[in-house]
Amino acid sequence: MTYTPLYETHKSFGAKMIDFAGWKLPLQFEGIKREHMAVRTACGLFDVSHMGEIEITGTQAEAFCQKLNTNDMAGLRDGRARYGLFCYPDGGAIDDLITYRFSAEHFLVCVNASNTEKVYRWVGDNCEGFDVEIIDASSAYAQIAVQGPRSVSVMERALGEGSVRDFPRFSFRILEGDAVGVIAARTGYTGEDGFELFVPAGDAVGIWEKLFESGSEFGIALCGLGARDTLRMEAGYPLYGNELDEKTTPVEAGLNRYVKMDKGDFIGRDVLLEQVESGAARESIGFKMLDRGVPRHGYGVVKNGKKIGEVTSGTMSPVLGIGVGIASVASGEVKCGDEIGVEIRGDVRKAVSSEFPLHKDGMS
Amino acid sequence: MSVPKDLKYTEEHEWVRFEEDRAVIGITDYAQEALGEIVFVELPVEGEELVQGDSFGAAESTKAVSELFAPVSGEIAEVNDLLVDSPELVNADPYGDGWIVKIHTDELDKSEVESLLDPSGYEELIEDEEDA
Repeated sequence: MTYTPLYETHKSFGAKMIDFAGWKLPLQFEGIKREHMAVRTACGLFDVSHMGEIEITGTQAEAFCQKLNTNDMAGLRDGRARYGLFCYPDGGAIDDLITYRFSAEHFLVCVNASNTEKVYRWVGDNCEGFDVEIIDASSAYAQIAVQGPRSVSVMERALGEGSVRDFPRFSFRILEGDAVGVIAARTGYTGEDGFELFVPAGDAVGIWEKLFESGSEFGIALCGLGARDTLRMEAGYPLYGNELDEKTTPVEAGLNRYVKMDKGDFIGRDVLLEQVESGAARESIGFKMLDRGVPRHGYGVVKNGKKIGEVTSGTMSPVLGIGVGIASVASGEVKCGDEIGVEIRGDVRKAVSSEFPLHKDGMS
Repeated sequence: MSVPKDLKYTEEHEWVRFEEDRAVIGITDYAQEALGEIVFVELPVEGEELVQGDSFGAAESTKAVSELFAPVSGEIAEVNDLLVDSPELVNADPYGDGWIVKIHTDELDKSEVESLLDPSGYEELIEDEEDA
């Protein structure tokens, strides 16, 4: 079991802890629903130190990242981050990740905790012929996410006026002053404005406490993995292991816009190109329950009495108070607004196919 | 962890309180704590006939689903409609406002009642589960 630098802090705040991908992490503090709503309306503070960080440096770092990533790493400006995937030659997803570009010779890749070792091995196995150095920097960094519409106010109060000025979405910078050495990025996994901070492990407790104290007047809540999961579901973001796995391609998971065919060759391109051109067998949709019930991973999805797929993620939406979810279904079977059925304990319950984010009002 | 002395229990963490002609059924304090915040309770309909051990609904938290099993046989007399809009009552007051169903007990089978756990038996069960 691995502990984040914030473990004792969480215990002192009464967190309910769980084991996740080999880590002890907070599931919740005061309650998932309350934490969820704090992020939608004010601000939430998350310890996501379990996320892995892999640094790729060297004269051919850009070309190497370009070979591994489905998204365009050459077209990415310095100081900007981009979501993308690493795939096997058959298109199956190794992981989904965000790549931070410091320069053409320096990239940081933030990967899922459960995949850190696998990705690190994959990167190492494919670097032959490239002048690059690869470091698993995961243990050097804690990661703290500040998420919600009041995130800017919290950051400014904690780190100083103007500290996050001129900070477009998906940009990042290395902070100075009290938070020296912290890499702050305007990214997140909640569907709200916010920041993700890569913090030198030894500074994590100080930064966390400062953010929490500064956030009190803005309604900040300490948040656990429970709220992180319900927030990302409403927003429609994939979770590796649910929407994505080694047998699912980014195209099948509805992530086409992160697969760039015109950037040149990359691992998995041939299969993905074919799926983009002639269609994949499956596709990902969002839906909202019309009948009562909570959709769950693995529940069947039907349309007109015919089984067409499965729920990949589902929950009771804290915002809407109804069941919402993401499903993988046979391509072309469902249009947005169509009625579908979800098999819940042997019963077919009505739902409607809906656009993301799911928590905005309207029934389609 | 509260285990009231005046109730009977099941190995699936339901409690039963025998009133005049009804058996009131809910899930235990231990069960609600283990599940976490309950966001949905699947309720049966009044008049449904249950046989001991039948699944008659479910309590769902954000992360888990726990099926509910009938501790004794009988017809459902009442369901707790408050749980439709306020499932969190099961967390807040598992032995009171968080009750789930009431079953008619005019034809109660004594051997079914004897098969239930008494409070000390249930306490042992949860101690074993916590050690496991």
